[in-house]
Amino acid sequence: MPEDRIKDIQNALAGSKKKFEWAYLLDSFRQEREREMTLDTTRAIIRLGGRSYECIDVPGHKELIKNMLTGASEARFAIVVIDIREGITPQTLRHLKIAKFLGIEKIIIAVNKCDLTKYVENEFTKLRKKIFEKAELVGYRTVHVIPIAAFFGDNVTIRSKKMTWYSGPTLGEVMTTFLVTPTVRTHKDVAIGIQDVCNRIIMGKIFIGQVKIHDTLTTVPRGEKIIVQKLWVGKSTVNTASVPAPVSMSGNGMKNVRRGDVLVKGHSVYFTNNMKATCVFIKSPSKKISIDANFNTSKAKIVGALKRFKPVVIEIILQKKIPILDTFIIRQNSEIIGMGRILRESHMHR
Amino acid sequence: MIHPKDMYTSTDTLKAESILILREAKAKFQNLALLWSGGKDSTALLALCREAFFNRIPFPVIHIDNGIDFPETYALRDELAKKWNINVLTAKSIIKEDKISGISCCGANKTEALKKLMEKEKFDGLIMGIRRDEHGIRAKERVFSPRNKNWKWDYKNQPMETWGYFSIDERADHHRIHPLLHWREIDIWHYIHENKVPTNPLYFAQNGERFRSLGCTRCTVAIRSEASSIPDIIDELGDTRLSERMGRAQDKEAESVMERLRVLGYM
Repeated sequence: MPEDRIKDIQNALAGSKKKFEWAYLLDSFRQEREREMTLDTTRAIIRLGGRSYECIDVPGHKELIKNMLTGASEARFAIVVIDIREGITPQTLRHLKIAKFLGIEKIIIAVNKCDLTKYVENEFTKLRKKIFEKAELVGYRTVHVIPIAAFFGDNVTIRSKKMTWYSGPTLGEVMTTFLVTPTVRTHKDVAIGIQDVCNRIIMGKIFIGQVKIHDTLTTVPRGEKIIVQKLWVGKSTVNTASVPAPVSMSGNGMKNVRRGDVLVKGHSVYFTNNMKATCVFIKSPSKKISIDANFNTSKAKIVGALKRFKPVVIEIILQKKIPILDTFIIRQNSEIIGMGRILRESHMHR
Repeated sequence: MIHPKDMYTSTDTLKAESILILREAKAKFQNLALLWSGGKDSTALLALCREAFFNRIPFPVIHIDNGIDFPETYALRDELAKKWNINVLTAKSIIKEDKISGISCCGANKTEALKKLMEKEKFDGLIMGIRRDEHGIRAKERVFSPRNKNWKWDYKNQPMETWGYFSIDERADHHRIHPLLHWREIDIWHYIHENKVPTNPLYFAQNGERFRSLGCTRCTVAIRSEASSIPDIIDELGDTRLSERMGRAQDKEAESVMERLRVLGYM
């Protein structure tokens, strides 16, 4: 953390009665500091074991789930912080369920403020047992539970001298094991979403696989064949490009290609107007909603009633078929009010 | 997964995300413009636009000119305009001698000048090169950030964005579009180096001093440095314990100046 920024915070607090809290480094709105709660998501880069991590801080309160989703949907793994005096709250469970929905497989549960229970082992082990039970119900069979006292740094990156009974890894040590260099998945299938067309050059983003010069791809929805003759990533000509490169292409059969089309090889795209999906809503949808997937959009209708702020399985009827890979969002007017994942078993691949 | 996000070991992933944002902005807004300040971030942003739109910059580029920018900044503006065929619009702001604190100078002068130009040109999207790691308040921004009629930033109720999809508020006067939010200072230098992006010479050390962050001549202070090339700068950033904008008067925490400025429509 930049020294001058810490000093700035200390200066800002000098006039008030508040003492320094680490949270102020991320809670930079005046209101967040006054109310002592995170209102909106933010990010900060930390260095640990020679690597950089981008930490995404998200708020916990139910009413702020939209901000939590905004941040958490970008995460690779999650650290859920629990106050040892409060234990597992409905909020903890909601966050675990949402993390599962978002596809976050690796979870650390940091049991914080152990200083306030005098670092007693029994307080922690009782809570850990409950955490394991609840986590398994949500679908997390392995979670790392770590006793910490964040204010003093115990078991964050430095082993606690007060909790010598704990022999497991520190928070930092677990984070280091989580971060493995992503292996490039060799995927036979290809899916490229088209964002823009300009002077017969089509521009898009590779969602799945790899594209090469001379590849033949099929356009969804029209089912036409196209052959890639020239390929660019940014401004540079290339022979191959893979996820997540922004590509531009020219070639044969591209004259009907437009924004929203998906170019595919293999069977990675659903093309449907009626789907079952798991969704999380931050607002109750009105009648006029639309579904956006891969730069395409369709008006849609939801069957049945639904609850907000937690994953629910629902049926969605689309006005027209659009190509969907796996995930989509729900808009009301132009505002995002929910996000969803198609249920694989209930649909045939195209 | 729709939005694969790898660690920032190279600029490729960062670039892919920025290009996606720029192309989405072009698809969703009718009348875009980009705000260029003369600094490294907005110049890197111009280079990224050329990658996103096939060597073109398909919207006008605004320079808010208070008449006291550095001569090097004006020279770079004219060089880029010619080299990259940019349609530059100048928003003239008048600086008053007695107003040099952050709020009245940046707020009153620059923001007002931009407002005037916006009223005339009716832009519905303004692309800007702010980054999260510059400042705690900027770190709270969205990629598409709505501003109402009075240009207020409703930071207590920001829209949801996820998986590379962005909300649009139909009641907004305009949206700010932030394609560089996820870049760090050092990433920008790597990108500039790899792509040979023209750079304001004020960033390079002369007589033991250089600028790390550039504003106008009034509010920018040089830092002590021997870094006279981009690799030197990258090395220097590797060990620094001081934040990038420490030489910028309008950022100081004590007065929550940045929060107030941004609420009022500052960049």
